[in-house]
Amino acid sequence: MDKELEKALERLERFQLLKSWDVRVTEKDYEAATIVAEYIIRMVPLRYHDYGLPRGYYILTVDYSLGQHKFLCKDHSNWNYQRQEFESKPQYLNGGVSLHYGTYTSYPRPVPDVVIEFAKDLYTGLLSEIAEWLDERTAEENEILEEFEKKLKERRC
Amino acid sequence: MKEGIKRELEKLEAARKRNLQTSTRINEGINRVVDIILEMVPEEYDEHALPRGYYIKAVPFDLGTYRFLCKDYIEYFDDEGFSYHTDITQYLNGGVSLHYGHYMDFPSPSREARIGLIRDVSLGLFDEIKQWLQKKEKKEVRNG
Repeated sequence: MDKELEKALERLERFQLLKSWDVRVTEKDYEAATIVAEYIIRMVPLRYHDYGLPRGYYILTVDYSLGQHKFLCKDHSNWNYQRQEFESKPQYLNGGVSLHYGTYTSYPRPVPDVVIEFAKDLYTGLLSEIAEWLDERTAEENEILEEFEKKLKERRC
Repeated sequence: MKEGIKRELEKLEAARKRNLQTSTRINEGINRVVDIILEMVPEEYDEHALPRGYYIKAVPFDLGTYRFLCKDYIEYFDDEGFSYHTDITQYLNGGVSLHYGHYMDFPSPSREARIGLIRDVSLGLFDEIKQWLQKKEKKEVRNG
């Protein structure tokens, strides 16, 4: 296994036992969250990048001058005092970058609560759920493929 | 690191591997189907609407003409509260750049378009194209 990923997961492990008001999310925690988020993006095949993943996570593809950038996101609701309503904003788990595409657009770091939630999700089966979700998609596609391959065989006969 | 998370990582990597095998099968299947359809439909029917919304687009480039099997899919966009939709052409044998004065990109099809083609073949797309071609030929004979 990738040592960097192993270290990142170890770093995020401590959040499991702590309440969000007991911890400070440090620079290194953000780095660890970025490493794990990018690992998840690599593990999810490209053709599912517009789909919703388990527990409300999703992968956002952003065009920029040098190609495309992928972000692992989750929406986070906050009370907006000015508007007096709940407001949902995407949180970029591997954010903290500015991308140029005509103009600069910034994709900020997630709020600390989301990093803590992400860490807790990782230790309560998020990776397993993504694996199961992926297996479900694979099974669906295999089912369609079997019928399709039968048709192709019939055509050859 | 806990054993549990190690096992989860292995599980995810195994799922990814299984999915890659399916992905290879899909890509091989798509390539075969596109070749069959492009062979079945004569060039004179390029730009005609084939059954189930498919059509063949002939694109001139420096070395001749490239034929793409296409289908339009509606995509929804949300731009700062305004949602709108447009037709996006999916090039089923896309994923190439052709030079004709400048390079033009014909992107790879989306998952929806790939699975859609496979499903359509399972539901009898070949037979429908065959019937469509027979009808066209009959019409042409009738019109002289």
